Amino acid sequence: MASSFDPDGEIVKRGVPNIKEKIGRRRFMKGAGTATAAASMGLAGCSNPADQGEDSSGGGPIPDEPLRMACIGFTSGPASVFGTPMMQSARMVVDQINENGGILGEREIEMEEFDENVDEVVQQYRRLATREEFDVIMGYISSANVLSIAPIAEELEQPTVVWDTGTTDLFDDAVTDPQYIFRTCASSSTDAVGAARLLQNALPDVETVAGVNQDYAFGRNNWDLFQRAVESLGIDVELVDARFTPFPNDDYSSTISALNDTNPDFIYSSHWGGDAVNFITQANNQGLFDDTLPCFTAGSHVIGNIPDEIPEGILFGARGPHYPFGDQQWNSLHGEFVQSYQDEYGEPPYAHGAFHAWQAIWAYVYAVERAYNVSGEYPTKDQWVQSMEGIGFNSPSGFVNMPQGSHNVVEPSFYGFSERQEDRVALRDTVWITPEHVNPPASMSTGEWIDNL
Amino acid sequence: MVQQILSEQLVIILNGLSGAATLFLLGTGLSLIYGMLNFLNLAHAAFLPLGAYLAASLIHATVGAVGGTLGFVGLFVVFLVLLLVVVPAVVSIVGLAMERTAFKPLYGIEDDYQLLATFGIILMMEDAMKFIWGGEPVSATAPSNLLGTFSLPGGTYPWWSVLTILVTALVAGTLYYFFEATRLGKITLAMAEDEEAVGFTGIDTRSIHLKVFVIGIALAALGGALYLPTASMTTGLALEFVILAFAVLVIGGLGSLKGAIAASLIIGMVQAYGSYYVPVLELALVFLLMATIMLIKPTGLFGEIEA
Repeated sequence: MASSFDPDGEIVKRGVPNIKEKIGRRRFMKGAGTATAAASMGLAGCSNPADQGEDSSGGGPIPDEPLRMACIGFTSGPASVFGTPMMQSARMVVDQINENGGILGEREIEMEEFDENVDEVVQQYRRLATREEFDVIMGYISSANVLSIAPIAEELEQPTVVWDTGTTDLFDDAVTDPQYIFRTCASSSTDAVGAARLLQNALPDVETVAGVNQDYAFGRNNWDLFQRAVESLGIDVELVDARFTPFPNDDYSSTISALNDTNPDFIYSSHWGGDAVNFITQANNQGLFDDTLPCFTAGSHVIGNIPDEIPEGILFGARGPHYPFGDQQWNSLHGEFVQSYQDEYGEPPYAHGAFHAWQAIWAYVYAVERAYNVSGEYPTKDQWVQSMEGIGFNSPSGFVNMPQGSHNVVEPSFYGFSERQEDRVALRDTVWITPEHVNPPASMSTGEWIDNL
Repeated sequence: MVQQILSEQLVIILNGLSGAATLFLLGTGLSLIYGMLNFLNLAHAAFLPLGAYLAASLIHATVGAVGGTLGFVGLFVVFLVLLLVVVPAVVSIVGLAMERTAFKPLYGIEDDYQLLATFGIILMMEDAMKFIWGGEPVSATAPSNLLGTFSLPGGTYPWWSVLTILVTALVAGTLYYFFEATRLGKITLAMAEDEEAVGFTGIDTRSIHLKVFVIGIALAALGGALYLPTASMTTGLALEFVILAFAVLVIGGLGSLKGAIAASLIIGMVQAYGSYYVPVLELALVFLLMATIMLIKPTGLFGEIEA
């Protein structure tokens, strides 16, 4: 089966996204100013929002007490292979901000960690929002969990930054008019439409396709979007099997046997965490990858968990251009982040959640600083909301953009083939697709957009 | 075409047998302990992950210390000794200590209280394992990688799963022989019928209790050790296993070895065929089967003790 891309260059481009750092990295200059927060709206696309209004900014008092930030992610259970690096990254980012004085150089962040691996996610959220009165709640890896808490975030008017979960149902269905909830990473649209475009524009030999996804919101959503994209784009492949496995799961033997018998050219899978570890290990043992190209759209983090089990030539994505090694050189933040993480924890930030944690925390801080710079006052939560809308900033994964009118960041799709390099597994022959080709415009739901491609 | 169908069926059957092997090793211990000792020990299922975690540590230590120096045969023998002997032995010692401290006070109290108390113990054991081995999944595939795979039309299959099936079959045969042909086995069966009468003959029933208990724990640990090389172990699995172990107990019948064998095979096959042909119903099928058996024969397929 295909072990390299044949990209057309118009839609699927070789290499890494052209996400050069746009201006200097100074993030804040406090001063006096009279501009209103409303004046900051419409400034999306600035590469460093904290710089906006710096000539006429600042002056107002900054709260003395630390900002209370709750961070929620899987730190136990099978999903912790993904969640633990994410929480480590959050801890490191908060420490770095605090070492520089905190938000606006003055207000420290007090971060508390909570395990997402609990039965009562909704009760946990309500408790953090009401009884413990956190200023901001960052969190969620599981799509199912975020669909449960999203309406409550709006009901309680609680600033909430969804930092990793992927399902497009979040803003297409659960909360269609969001105010207080934002997502600072790309949605499943990036995975699913990206993979469909790969089939159409870079993998011309693929004739038969199967899906194997986890049987919950993220997996179902992924397969639905992928299937619709294949149909809408009129891609000449036959969908021969669609399997959904329990989440979490440890025995994939029968699923793998069934896929072996269908023998598809290409397998679309949104498996991640311990499930992806088990699936890949067992699929390898049962020879599934011998003549089938599997595409793990958000699974590249497992190359750090089971490097010895990863065969050559598996297609990996990370729901955006999140790459664990510092050798892609797409901007200086990437190298700095990877190196800091490596120094702190002794291994690269394999889980793309580590990058998502950076994006979430800095998006929040930048929004506060931007609002302060243009209005001269420390923002209320409603002013923070206004400042978050349309925010754009440089990150370790390139320029992160939240289009005006959307509460959801868009990112490019990025894929590559696994390749053993000395003592690690890396990605070779990487390709990328621009955010506009894999994400809907702010005015449309993902489903509507895909159906009209 | 015919060859492909045969190969497909062979793989499903192997999947079913290997799933059944884990269930048998876990469920038999639970069944023996309940059947012979009238002790409903939910915490029994926690000894499987304990065996698996210990196996992981031992495998990693071995690979780190002597992995490169031993040849295929040497390393394979070391793995076998670790997984088949050392892990069950060490976990049995832990089980024995727990029997004397945590479980013994619970004998003789009503089933409901046993259920609650042992559920508490399983949660504590889960957290203890999380404390020792961490919350992240632990895997150790070296033994399975060492054995490799064999080819089938359309794919390959791991030899380790075949080994698991063979070892379990050997254990089942040995247990069957133990109960049918040895004095201790016959006494144990007699105790299940009327412990008081056995006690009148001067036999030390407490000692037999302990032996049955330890055998049960060792089997669960062996199940974990054999399971680990093909899957990862993580916190929370004990609670999943306890449900399946109870399915074995209910379907097979309390305290019946034949029942445990039959129930494990049935559940293993239902899971294998279910996840192959109707994956969305995989779990539902097991519980549907359990409910049906309870309606038709409340004592289970081979059970004689009233449920």
